[in-house]
Amino acid sequence: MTILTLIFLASLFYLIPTSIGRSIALLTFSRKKEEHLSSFPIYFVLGAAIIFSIAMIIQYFILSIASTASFSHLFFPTIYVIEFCSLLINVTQYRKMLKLFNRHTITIFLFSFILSAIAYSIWIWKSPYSLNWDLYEHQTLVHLITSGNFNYFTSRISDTFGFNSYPPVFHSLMAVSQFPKELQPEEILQYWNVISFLHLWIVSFISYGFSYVVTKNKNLSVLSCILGTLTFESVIAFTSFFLLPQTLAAVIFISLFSTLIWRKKHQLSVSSFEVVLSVLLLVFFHYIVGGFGMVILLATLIYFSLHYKMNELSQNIPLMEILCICIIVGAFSTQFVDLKSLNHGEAASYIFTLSDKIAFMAQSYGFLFLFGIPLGILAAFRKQQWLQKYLLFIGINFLVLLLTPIPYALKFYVLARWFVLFFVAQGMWSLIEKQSFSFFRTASFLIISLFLCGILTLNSVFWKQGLTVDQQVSHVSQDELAAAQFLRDNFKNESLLIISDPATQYILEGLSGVNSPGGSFANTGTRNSLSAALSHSSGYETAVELRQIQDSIVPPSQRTFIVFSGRLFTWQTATDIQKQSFDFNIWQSRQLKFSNLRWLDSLDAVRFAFIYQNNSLQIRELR
Amino acid sequence: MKLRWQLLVMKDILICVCLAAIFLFALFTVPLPTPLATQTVGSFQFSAFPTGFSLYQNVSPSHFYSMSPLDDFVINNQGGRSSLAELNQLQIEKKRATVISSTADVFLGLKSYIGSSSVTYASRGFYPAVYQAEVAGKAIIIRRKITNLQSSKVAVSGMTLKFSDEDFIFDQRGKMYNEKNAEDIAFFNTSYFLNLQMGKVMESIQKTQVKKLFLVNPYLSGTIVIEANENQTLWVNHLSNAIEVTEPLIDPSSSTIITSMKLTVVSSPGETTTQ
Repeated sequence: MTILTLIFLASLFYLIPTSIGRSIALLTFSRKKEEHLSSFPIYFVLGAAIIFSIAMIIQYFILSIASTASFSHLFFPTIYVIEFCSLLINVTQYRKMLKLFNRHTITIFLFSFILSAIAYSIWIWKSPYSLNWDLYEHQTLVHLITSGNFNYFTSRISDTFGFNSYPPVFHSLMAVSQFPKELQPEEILQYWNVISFLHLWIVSFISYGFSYVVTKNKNLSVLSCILGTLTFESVIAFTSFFLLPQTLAAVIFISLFSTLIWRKKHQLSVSSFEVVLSVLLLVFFHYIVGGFGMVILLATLIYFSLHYKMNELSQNIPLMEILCICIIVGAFSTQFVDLKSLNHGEAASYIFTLSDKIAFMAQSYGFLFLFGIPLGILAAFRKQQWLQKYLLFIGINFLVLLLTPIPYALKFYVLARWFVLFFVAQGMWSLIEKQSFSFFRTASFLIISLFLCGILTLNSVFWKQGLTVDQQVSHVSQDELAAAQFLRDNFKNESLLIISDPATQYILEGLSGVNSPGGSFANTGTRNSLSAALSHSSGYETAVELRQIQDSIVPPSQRTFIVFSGRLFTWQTATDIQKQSFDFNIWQSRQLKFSNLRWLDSLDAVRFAFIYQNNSLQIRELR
Repeated sequence: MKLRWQLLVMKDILICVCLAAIFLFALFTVPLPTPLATQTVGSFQFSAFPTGFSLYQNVSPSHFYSMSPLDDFVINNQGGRSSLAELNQLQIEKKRATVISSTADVFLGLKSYIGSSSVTYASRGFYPAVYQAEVAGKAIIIRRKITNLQSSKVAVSGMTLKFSDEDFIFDQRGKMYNEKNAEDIAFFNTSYFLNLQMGKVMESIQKTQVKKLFLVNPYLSGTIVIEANENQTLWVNHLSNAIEVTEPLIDPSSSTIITSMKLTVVSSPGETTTQ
C-alpha cells in the first residue's frame, strides 16, 4: 500500500467528522453567518458526536429490534452515506470555505507543516514504525468495532481496558477512517505514524492560533508555534507526538478555548448553542482530561459572559487575590484529604515526587522553564490586560495542581502545556521584541529553533535507549510482525485465544486482531497462572496452569495458542512484583536463546502442538 | 547617529547571546542515558565502560562479552607476557551526579543519535592504548593503538574477547574448543542444523588453526563470530576464559602498535555455516 493511501486513510479521521459537522452547521446555525477557522473545532466535535450517536442508536436501538443484523453492516455504510451527503452540502458552500484560505492562513499552514516535518523527522529517526506504545490497545478496540463489537463501555468490548476512561468515540472515528481498506500489521504501524504526524501538524497550527487570538502578535505566535512543535512531553502527557484520546481531547480543548477568546474579542456571543454543546461534548473524548477541560471552558464561558454583560464589574474581579487564596486554601485542605486511600493500586504507579517531576520536565525541556516562566509571567503582568491575567490565573492553578501528590495529576499537563508554553514564548518574546533590527530577530528565532531541535534530539536519545532491534528503534521486531501477519492470515476469524507475556500478547492482539487475555493489562490471575506455568518442568502441569487463563469478556475459545517468545522468557526472569505491575513490560523484542529452545524441546509435543516458529518466538497450540 | 546605531546593534547582539545562553543551559540540563554512545550490533548492544568495551544484552546483565586493556597483552622478545593495564590504573571512579552535562557528553549524545557508528575508549596503564570501534551493520572492527612503547621490545601483541564457561565455542568445521555434555551438543546440532563434535580440552591455552571462531551463550540470543586476518592467530585461553587474537610485530623498534580485531553478530548459530 502506498504512503498516499495511508495519508488518505489517516486524514479521514479528521475530515469525515469535520465535514459532517460542517454540513449540519451549514444547514442550521451558521447558514447565514460568515465562516471562520475557529468554527472548525466545533464542526469536528459535532461531527464526532453524530458518528458516535449513530453507533449508539444502531447498537442499542436498531439491533435490539432487528437482532439478526450486524453492527458493522449497518454502521459503516450509514456513516459513508451521511459523509457523501455532507460532501455534497460542503461542495455547494465551497465559496465560504475558500474565503478562509487567505495569505496569512496558508502561510501558517505551510510554516507549521515544515516545522512539524522537521520535529517529526528528528523523533522518528531510525524508527520506521510508530513509537506510541498505547496504539496497540486502541487498535485492538478499532479491530473489535470494525468486526461489530460495539459498546458504550470500553471495558465491555475488550478486557484490555480495565476501566472506562472514555467511551469509544476516538475508536469509532478511527474505525470509520480505516474502513475503506483492511490494514495489514505493518500498515497499521505506518498508519499510526502518519496519523501522529497529522496530529503534530494540528498541534503546531493550534499553538500558533492560540497565541494569535490572545495577542494578535504574529511574531509571538510564530515563537509559540516553534515551542509547541519542537518540544515533546515524553513522559505521561505525550501531547504533541502521540495521538491518543487524551491528547485529542487536549487539542479540542485548546481549540475551543481559542474559539471562545476569538468570539469574545469579536463581540460574538460566546454562549451560543453550538459552542455550549461542543464544550459539553468534550467530556466524551476523555472523562478526566476532557471533563477537566470542560470545567475550565464552562468557567471561561461564564467569565466571558460576565465580562460581556457587566464589563466593569468583571474587570474588577480580583483574579490574582482569588488565586492566592485558592493556593493557600488548597495547601491547607490537603491535610484533610485521605491521600493514602487515593494513592493505592495502579494509581500508586502514577504518584511522583517533586524531584521526579523536575526530572520529567528536564527530559522534555531541560531547565528552560527556570528562565522562561518567570519572564513570561513578568511580561503578562506588564501588559495589564484582563485576558493575560485570566490565562495566568489558569496557568498558575495548573502548576499548583501538577505539584500536588495526587495520582494522575501529571495527566493534566496535557492541558496545562498550552498555557505553560504560551507564557514561555511570551517571556522569550519580551526579550526579542527589544531588538531593533529584523536580521537579529530572525537570528534569535533561528537560535531558539536550533537549540530546541538539540533538546528534542537528546530527549529522543533518552527515550529510545534500549529499544533498538533489527538495527531500528522500535517496540516491534520483524519476527513479531511476521508472526502477527501469520496469525491474521490464518486465524483472524477463528475462535482463538493467544497467551503470552503481557507485551507480546498486547502487540500481537493489536496487530493481528486475534484475541488475548487482557493484552498488557492482563489481570493478576492470568499473570500468576502464566508465571506458574513456565516454572513447571512437566508439560502436564504447565498445560493445567495455562488452561486456567481465559478472556474475561469473550466466551471460552475453541483453540488456545501459547506464544513462547523471547519476551516471555525474559518476563519470567523478572521479580514477582514486576510481573504484577502494569507499568513493567519487556519493551524491546527478544530473540529465543538456546536455553529457551531447550525448555521448549522438553514440552510434550502432543499437548503443545507446533504451529509456527521464527528467531523470536514459537507458537504452540494447547491441546 | 553612528554611535546610536552601534549601540542598537550591540543591544541586539546581547539579546541574541542571552537567548543562546538560556537555551544552551536548557540543552545542557537534558538528562542523558548511561552509557551514552551505545551501538546496536545484531541482538547485542556495544558500549564503552570504564574498563573497556562490552557486548551485552540489556535484559541479561550477568552475561556479556568484554574487551579490555586488563586482558589485552603484549609479549616481549624474551617471551614475557604482560597485560596493558591493571585495574588500579584505569579511571573507574564513579561520575558525580550533576544536573549539567559535559560538553563532550552532549555532543556525543547528539552525534550518536544522528548516526555516528564509532565508539572510542582510551586507557592509561603500563601501555597507554586508544581503542576505536567502528560498527557497520552487524560487524564491529576494533582498532587498538598502543603508544609510547619506547624500549619495550615487544614481539607479539594480543587482543582478547572474554567468554563465559557456559559458551559453546566452535569453528566452521564443527570442532569444539570447550567441553559440553553430549546431550547439550546433540540438542544444539538438531536445533541449529549443525554438526558439532564433542571437544576435549588438552591444553589450557589452545592454539587454533582456523581464522574464525564462533561463540554461543545459552542465555543470550545471537552468535558472536570472531575473525582473524592473515597475520593473526586465534587462541582459546581456558585459564583466563578469553579468545586471544595475536599478531607478531613486523617492526619491533616502532613506538606504536596498531592491531585490529573483527567481530560479527549473526542471529542464529545455523548461519555460521554460511560465514
